[in-house]
Formats: sequence, structure tokens, C-alpha cells
Amino acid sequence: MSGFLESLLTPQNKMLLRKLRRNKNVLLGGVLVLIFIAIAILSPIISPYSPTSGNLSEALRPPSSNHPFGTDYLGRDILSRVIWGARISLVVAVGGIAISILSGAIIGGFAGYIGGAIDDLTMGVVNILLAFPDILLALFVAAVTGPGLENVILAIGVYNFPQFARIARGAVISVKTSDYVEAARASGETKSSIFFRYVLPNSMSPIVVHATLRTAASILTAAGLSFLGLGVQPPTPEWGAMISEALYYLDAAPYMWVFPGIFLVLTVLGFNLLGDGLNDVLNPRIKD
Amino acid sequence: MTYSIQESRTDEVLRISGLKIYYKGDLGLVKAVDGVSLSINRGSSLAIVGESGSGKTTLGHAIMRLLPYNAVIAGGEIIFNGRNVLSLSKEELRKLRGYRLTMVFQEPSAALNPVFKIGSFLKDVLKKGKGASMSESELKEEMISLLRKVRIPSPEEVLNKYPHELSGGMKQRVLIAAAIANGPDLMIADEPTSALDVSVQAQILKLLDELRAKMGLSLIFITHNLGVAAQVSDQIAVMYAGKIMELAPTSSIFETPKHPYTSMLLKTIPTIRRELKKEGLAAIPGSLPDLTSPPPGCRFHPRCPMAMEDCRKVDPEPIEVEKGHFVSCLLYRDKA
Amino acid sequence: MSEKLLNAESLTVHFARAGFLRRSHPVKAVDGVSISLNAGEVLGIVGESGSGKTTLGKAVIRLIEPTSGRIKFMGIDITRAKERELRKLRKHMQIVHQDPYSSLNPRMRIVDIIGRPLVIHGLVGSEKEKRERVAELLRKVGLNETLLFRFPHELSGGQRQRVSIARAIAPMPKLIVLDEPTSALDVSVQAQLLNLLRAIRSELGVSYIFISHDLSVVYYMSDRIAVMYAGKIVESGSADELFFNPLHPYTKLLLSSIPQPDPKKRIDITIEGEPPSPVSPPPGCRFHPRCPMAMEDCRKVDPEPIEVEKGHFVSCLLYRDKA
Repeated sequence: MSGFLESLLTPQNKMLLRKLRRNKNVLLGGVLVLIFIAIAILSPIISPYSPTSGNLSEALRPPSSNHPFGTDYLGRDILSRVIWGARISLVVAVGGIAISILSGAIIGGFAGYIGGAIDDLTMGVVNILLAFPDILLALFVAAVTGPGLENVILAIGVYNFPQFARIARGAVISVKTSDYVEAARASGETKSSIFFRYVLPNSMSPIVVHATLRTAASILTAAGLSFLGLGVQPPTPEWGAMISEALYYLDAAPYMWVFPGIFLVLTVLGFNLLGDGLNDVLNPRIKD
Repeated sequence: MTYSIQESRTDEVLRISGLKIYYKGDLGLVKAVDGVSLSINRGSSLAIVGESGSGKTTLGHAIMRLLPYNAVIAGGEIIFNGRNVLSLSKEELRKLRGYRLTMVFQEPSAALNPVFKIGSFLKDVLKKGKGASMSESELKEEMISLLRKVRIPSPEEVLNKYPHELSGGMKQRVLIAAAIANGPDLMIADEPTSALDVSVQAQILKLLDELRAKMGLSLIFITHNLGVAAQVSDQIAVMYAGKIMELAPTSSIFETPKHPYTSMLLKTIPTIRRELKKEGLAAIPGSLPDLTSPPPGCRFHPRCPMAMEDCRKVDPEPIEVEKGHFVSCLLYRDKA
Repeated sequence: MSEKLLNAESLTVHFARAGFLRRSHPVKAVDGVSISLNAGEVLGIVGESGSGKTTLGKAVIRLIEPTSGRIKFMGIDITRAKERELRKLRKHMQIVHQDPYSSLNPRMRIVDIIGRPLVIHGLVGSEKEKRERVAELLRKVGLNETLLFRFPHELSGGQRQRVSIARAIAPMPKLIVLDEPTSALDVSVQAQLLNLLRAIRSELGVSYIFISHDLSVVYYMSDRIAVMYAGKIVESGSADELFFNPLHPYTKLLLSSIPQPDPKKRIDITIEGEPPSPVSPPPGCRFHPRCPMAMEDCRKVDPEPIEVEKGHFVSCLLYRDKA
């Protein structure tokens, strides 16, 4: 396994790192994403108040030195909720994407590698799933399983699955037909050895790029589900749920939706920029 | 024509002097073309020969001003019909390209737009130049005669076909037809036969040679293949690592090569000779230099068996050893 | 009687093309071809694109599955050999691809690329032994052993092709299929590699199937040569016989198409046209539509190989009275 990891990391040599660092999208997106992850990890330390309990007598206070982002209708500190919300979004996005990569990339990659009827069948299912709008799939899963953090993660995982399956399949097929895989066969490598030593490491970069881009979309979907009441349940501090709660106070307390909104936008922007930048650097078809 | 004064004075179509083109790369400036001077007369044909990284393609594309965005023109001029191509506006360039100055590329499939029929492609080309005031029927006649010139069988049918319906050789003929359509002053052919099979390559080479003789075309032929160069050129410029090592009439290059690189390069080409199988092929030791930091002095000196102490220090200037035979090598400096 | 190293009889490779509801016409890449090879011999296969030369080369070592025919390698019938059996035999048959930029795993170090065949076939016991053997192989192909821990992208095209050659000779094979090994390289590098391949052959006694579109290169490298056109061998014989006494009109066309590095020898060919599509080749002799000597029968009769002189075969009706 260490050999596999090493083979993933080491060829990203100086030149690639330099390209990554010179790419403005990667730089800006990377900084935004790093800030987001730092907030998410450090939330228990840096949040000034509890995200879930508030003082009703302090409800709906505009931003002040005590509550820089103000308080919501239950008197909870919005800054603390926004900070903890980053943690929820990270868990949901990373969890969901992990499920879809594991299921999608493995099933798609396997189908592409084996080919034939298995491939046809898998891709048939995938194409049917792709015919549904993303949000519809997510809504369906969320509606069937009911609200809750785990179920949002599952919904995100399911709606991203077909895309990862297709991308992984494409990547695997292009690697599978390459000369170096043929040379490996000529050397007498076994099928599983070819898959793990040659096909898998060389199919990773499109999946990594896509995962970054889908993380952005997934954070939005999770927020959307929560906004609709199908996602994370109160009092869990989730950005979408926070915006949803702010609906009744749109005019009276704009700080209730402005701050989670800004964080949501910046995070999504960060992942999108990073994904685009990675695509420019890692995808050989886009020439520099 | 505003620039016909100089044109009438000289028989020169193109003069390049001191041209330097560098690429901004990840590891620094790549000196792709580094001080190249040459000229070409009306109706003559020059082959630019070199290995990959010699700068031959960059040079050809620079004449058309078709350089990638990371290219820097670091010096020199390209005088075409009396005007410096490097200082023309986009509008002036547009009028020049495809009309007075044309190009044929290596990949015929990539150079033809797949959604247009051959007929509408050629019509567009003609309308830019001599077909500007022609009627539809005149245009059609002109197109058919063009396709005949490039020896395409049943030209009427071909006009109605899409590029994918034609073979590689036929596509290249169509592109040659487009390149000669408006009677250009200069045609640049960038490895036009490298993507084709030998038997088709032979047909295209023969065609280009015919057209040149018939139409008095000036031709710059870029190739890595000395055999191909021998077939289509009056003069050959041998490039190595961004510089012209030797420029001479084609027969002199093959019969009396002066530069050590040229003579060694000639010996590396396999030919069908019994003795060669016994003696073995000569090879040039070493490999092409890194163009971000080319060797000082003569760029060939690390691989040259004749290298002297001075070759490490002095960058040799072209010396005319015989009439029209230039060589950039210190071995000949007493002949300067 | 000495056993041939390789004997392929009536080999056919058809590629089914994707059809949705019905089977469409297959591409007949190789259509009834027989070749044989003695130990230590170099067989050149020359042809234009679409002639099926690469498919043939890969089919005889079962990197592409033949549709029909029979292949015997080292006396063993490998036509229907199982994967496991075949893997053991792979030690003896190797390949070098044309494109040095796509034939090496970009995520492996040179030591592993060359070392894998040694490990797979149990030829080295330890990591240290592998490293030593690979270093030795690198020296043998003219590379510095400092390249051991580099990745392919750090090497030039010529260097990569040397790595490919080192990988191919690592398990001491009996046969290497060289698929246009120098076509992607510059002439000066090509010359170095051709000489290296010749030196390796005389040192190791390995056989080559040398595939190329370049007649001069094939002549320089081969003992015997087969000329392919549209999926068939039209002429075969010793290199000298074939090139100094060509019989088939297509061989003659190819030879007169070579651009000679001599401005006095201008190309003079009269044959126009291009090779046919392998999906629907013409009936009879596949060259007849372009052949200046074509007769009525050439449209109908698919010519069989005729041994005109010892070891010199030609598939052309012009020579049928010599059969």
C-alpha cells in the first residue's frame, strides 16, 4: 500500500508543484479551501459560544462586539454557528464524496477494466441515473431515508455515484488500452497486478479533479436539502438550515442569512477554483 | 500595392536576418531559434532540415507569424515582399496569409474544418484573392481546375465531399490546392508528407515538384528527412539547436557537405546498400542539447569529433566557402 | 530437423466493429498470413499504415487474440494456451513499442519498469539483486545507472526507448517484437538505436520481428523480409533477394517511392491511389486496382504464394506459371 501511495505522490515532482503554485485558480481556491478546513477542524476551539444553546433574551441582536455576526431568533451566536457549520459541511461533503468515489470509481473502474457485458450493464444503469437531475436523486434518497446527517451524506453519495462511475470508467479504459499496459501484459503481469500497479495509479488524476469540483456542488446540495428541511435537523448548525431559519427574518435580521450565505459562497467558490486549477494542471489535454 | 517599389528592385521574396525566437518555459527561456539569417528568391525552393528541437518548425511558423503565445521575438526581422512581417498589424497579416503567403501543415486532417465541404472550403479561399469578383460558375470552374492541378481524380465529385470522406493523401492535395489557389509568392510546407505513407508521400513530393516548375512557386519545405529534402529543394539549410549550421545548394549538401554535423547526419540515414549492412550505420554520439542553456561556442561542439579548443568559446559566424555555400564552423575560418 | 522458434500458419485477425443491433462487417486486419522464424533470425515486416503489420506482430505473441490460425512457439502450440500458461511463456517473448512516450508507466521508476519482468519470472531473489541486474541492463543499453530512480518523464525519447529495450531483454527472451521502434525518433538517435539492437542480437542470439514502414531501416536490420499489403503478405524472401530482385508490383512501387538522399535520384513513380480500406478490400488480388500490370483474372483470383526461387515467395498471378 505504501508503494501505491508513493507512486501517487512522487511523480508530482518539482515541475508539477511549480505549475500548481503558479496557477492562480489553485492558489486562490487552495487558500479558501484551507481556511474552510482549518475552521472546520478548529471549530471547538475558535467558536466563542455554544452553537446550539442560546439566551432568548439576547435573540435577534445585530452584530456587536460581543456577537460579531449577531444572534439568531433563539439568541444563539451566529458566528459560532457559522464556524460549526463549516464542520458539518466538511463532514457531509467529504463523507458523501468518499461514498461516491468508493462506489462509483470502483464499480465504474472495474466495469471499464473488465469490459464486455458487465460494462454494458453497469453503464446502462449509470446512464439511466444520469438522466435524472442531480437534485432530484438527492431529494429522492433524502425523502426515502428521512432527514438526518447520515442520510444527507448517503444522498450526496448516491447522487454523485453515476458521475464518478463514468469518469472512472473513461479513465480506466484509456489507461487500459495504453502501450505500457500492453507491455506489462507482455512482461507476464497478472490481471490484478496490472490493475493495481498500472491502471489505478494512472487513472487517479481525473477522479481527483472531479472530486474537488463535486465537493463544491455537494456542499451546495447539502445546504439545499437542509434548506428544504430534508437534511440536517435543528438545532445542528448547518449553513443551509441557518439560511432556511432566516426566511422569516429576511428584513428584520439580514445578518442571520448574510453570514452563512457568505461562507457558503466562499467555500463553494474555493472548491470550484481549486478543481478548475487542478484540471488545468493535471489534465494533459489542456495545453499550457 | 504600396510596397511594390522594393519588390521590383529585387528578386528576393523573403529575407530573414538575425531572427531570434525564444519560448518562455517552466525551466527558463528556450532558445528555439537563435540568430537565423537566410533569403529565398522568387521561384526557388529551400528545404529547412533538422532534428526535433532544431527550431525548423518555429522558424517556419514565425514567417507566417503563427507562434504560440509563450513565444517571444527576441530580435531580427522577416522581410517578405519588402515589408517586415513582424511589424504588420493583424489586419495586414490577415490579408497576407492564405493569399500572398500560404502554408501546408503536417496533419491534413487537422487543417480542414470537418463541417465544411471541400467546395465551400476552396470557395472561401478563392474569394479572399483572385476569386473576389468571380461569379458562382466561374468559381466552380476555377476550383475544378485547381483540383486538376493537384491531380485529384473526378474533381466535381470531390467538391461535394466532406473532409472525412477523403483519404489522407487526398486531403493533403486539397490543402495544397488551397495553398496555390491565389498564386502566392511563397508557400511554406511544414512536414507535409510526414503523416503519409511512403507511396503516397512519393506522389505528393512529385506533385510539389511539378507545381513548382509549372507555377514558378517559391517554396520553403520544412522536414526532418534529408531524403525528402533532396527531392524538392534547390537549396538546403541544415539547422541544429536553433542555428543554421550549413546552407548550400542541394547538390553540394549531399556531394560536398562541409559542416561535420551535416556529413555525420548524412551517414546516419540508412539506405538500401549491401555494404551498409556489413559496415554498420554511423551514429552521432550524444544527444541534442538542452535549449534553455545551450553549450557555449558552437552548439555542436560536445558531439563533434573535430572539435577544437576554440569551438567551446567562439560562436562561429557563417562563412561563404564557395559561391552560395555557407557554413558556420571554425574549421573554415581561414577561408573567410 | 531443427525446430522453428516460431511458426504461425494461416493467421487471421478480424476486429468486430461496434454495432448496435446487428453485426457490422469486421475489419480484416490480418487475413490468412503464415510466417516462420528460426532462432536468432530477424524477420522484417514492412508495409504501409493499415497493412496489418503491427496487428500481425502482436498476434503472434498473443497480445492480440487471433481469430483463426495456429501459432507454435518453441514447439508449443500457444494458439489456445490459457492465460496462466501464456504468462510463463511471456518470459521468452517480449515487445518494444513505437511510441516511447506511451510505453512506459509514468508512475513507475526506471528500476521498477525494467525490474518487473525479472521479479515476475523469479529471476532475482532480492531487491538488491534486482537493482544490480537493472543497473547492468542500463549499461548494456548505453544508459547511465544514475537513471535508476528516475521517472520516465525525466528522460528523452531516445533514452526512454533504450529503457523499453532494456525491459524487453531483461528476462533473456528468445523473441522480441520490435514495433516501429525508431519511427518516433530523430535520425541521429535512430542510428544509435538500430546499432544497439544489432549489437544486442549478436550478443544474446535473440530473434526479432522487426516491423517498420521504412524500407531502408527494415533492410538494414533484417535477414528475411515480408511485405504486407491490406492484411496479406504479398512477397517474402531474404532481404537481398527481395530488395535487389523485387517481383511483386507493390514491392517495386514501395522501393521506387523511397525518397533517396541524393538529388540526382528523383522519385519517379507512376502508380497513383492509396491502400484500400481493410473493411471492404477489393476482390481478387487486393493490389489490382492500383496495379499497372493487372490482368482480367486479378479481379477474381486471390493469388496464393508461389516459391519463385528458393525462399522467395510472391503472391501474384504474373508468376503463376512458375508454380
